[in-house]
Amino acid sequence: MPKLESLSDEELLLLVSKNQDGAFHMLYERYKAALLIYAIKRVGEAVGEDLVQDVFIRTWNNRYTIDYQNDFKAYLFTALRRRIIDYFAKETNAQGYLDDLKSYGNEFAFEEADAAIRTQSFSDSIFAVLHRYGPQYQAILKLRLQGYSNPEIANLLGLSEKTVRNQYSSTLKIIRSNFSSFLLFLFF
Amino acid sequence: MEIDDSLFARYQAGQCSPEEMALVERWLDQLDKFPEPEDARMLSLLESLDEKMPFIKKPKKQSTWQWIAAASILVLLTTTLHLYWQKQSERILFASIEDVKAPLKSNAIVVLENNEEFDLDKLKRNDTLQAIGYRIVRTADDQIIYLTDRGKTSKVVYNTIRTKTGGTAHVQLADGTKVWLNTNSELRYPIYFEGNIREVALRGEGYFEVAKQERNHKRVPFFVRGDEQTIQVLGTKFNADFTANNETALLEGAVAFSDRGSSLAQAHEEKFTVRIRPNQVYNGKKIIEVKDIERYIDWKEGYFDLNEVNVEQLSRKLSAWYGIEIRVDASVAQVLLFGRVRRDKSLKEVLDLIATVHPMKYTMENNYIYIK
Repeated sequence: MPKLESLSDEELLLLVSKNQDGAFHMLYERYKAALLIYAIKRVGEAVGEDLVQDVFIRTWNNRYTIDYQNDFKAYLFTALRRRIIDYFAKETNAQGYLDDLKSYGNEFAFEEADAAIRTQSFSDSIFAVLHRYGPQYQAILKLRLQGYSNPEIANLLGLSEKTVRNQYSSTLKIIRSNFSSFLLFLFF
Repeated sequence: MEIDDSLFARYQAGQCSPEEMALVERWLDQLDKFPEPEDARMLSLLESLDEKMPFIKKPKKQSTWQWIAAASILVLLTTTLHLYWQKQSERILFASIEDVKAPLKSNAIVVLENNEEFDLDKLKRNDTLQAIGYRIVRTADDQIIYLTDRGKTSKVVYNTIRTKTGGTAHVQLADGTKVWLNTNSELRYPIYFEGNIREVALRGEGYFEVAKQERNHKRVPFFVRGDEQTIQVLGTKFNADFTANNETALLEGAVAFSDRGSSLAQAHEEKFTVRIRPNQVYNGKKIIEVKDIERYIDWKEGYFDLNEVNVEQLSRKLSAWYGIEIRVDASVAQVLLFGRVRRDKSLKEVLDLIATVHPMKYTMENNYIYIK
């Protein structure tokens, strides 16, 4: 049995198709924290957790039939984005979001974005979130809460100190620069 | 572009123009409406997400039962063995001196808050022992560490690690402090430090590397409580020997002493009158300057340091390590030795090596080693 940690998403998906549930678990570990933070920042903790749970369970239930188009993480984030918009469409309290969207639309008049560039920037932004909320995030979080220092955490988890430090660099900046200003510079 | 109230619904139904889709997606990408949860909250959200995933098998529960079962057996076993040991006083019968080998196992147990005992040798590298509200892990480098869910522990939970003859243990406490326990020793500690002080109780010998901890910009002090002495730790690295020897050797930082014993979780009024600096040793009476302080932690580094040690003193160390009584003839007892020997050698190899430093003979009779 090869070490799951060292396998690529594509290799893990191949194992999933061969009934290896552990491979799916590994994929989940890779993306759960990044998806959760993405959802929480947009719809808050309670709804965010529900939506992320929904995304993973649906993906799990349809694991043999989904076409991931060779990019599992893009698939997950796109699915989450859909769930979030579904939530806006359904909920009566979506009015606040609609107002926000209107003022955003008035402020930034723009042309139709090139679909390929949009996809690319979207996966760039996913990559940035994963930079901090990667597969070791939960373990690092746990040890941090117990008062361990970065070098000690690196030692315990067998990671480089840089990796541990990066996990604690400011995410907000990374997300913002990638999701908004970066996009704006690209298009205008 | 006209933004109407049905935009979300039309997006959902796939009835948006490409411009509208781009707008919704880009708006969503930049949306930043709620704050990021704090670390502890984030951790509990992740754990609650884990629990809802159908593909995650729940090894936790299963292993708890296995461990509890194993623990009950162990407790039974230890009770039986304890009765046996009381008679035998932990002595093993050796057929010949060739059989007296260095211990291969750590010979250590951990005692949980409910007095359940686990043999730490059963916990292999990267294994996890699931207790209620916390986990004990043996890391890849043989360290025992605790993973606690701080939110779940309401009162202070104490564990004890006890090493038997020939046993050693290396534990990392919740604050990052590392403790190496020498043979026949015992450390009692909380699995999580609460409040304004940190304290552990020591019997026997331990080497401490105390981690700095601050709360509200104030250093949180660390106390090592013994039956006859209490150490207030101001700095980092020291070896506390609370055996009959009673010597505390300081490698780095600073420690202070109160020549009275103390115990955990009690109100203390203590005066720490004696304070030592690095390369000093305090034996309960006076402070001694030492050139080679490292020799006090030879056991931690895996060897016996023979420098400035006489045969009598060494025999006590060998006795504790190999689990056999050693009698030294007065004619050689005071002979000073030099050099160092690895602790993983057999007793015969060690004695042969010492015999090259100073000519001496050893024999074995009735499970005693006699050195002349």
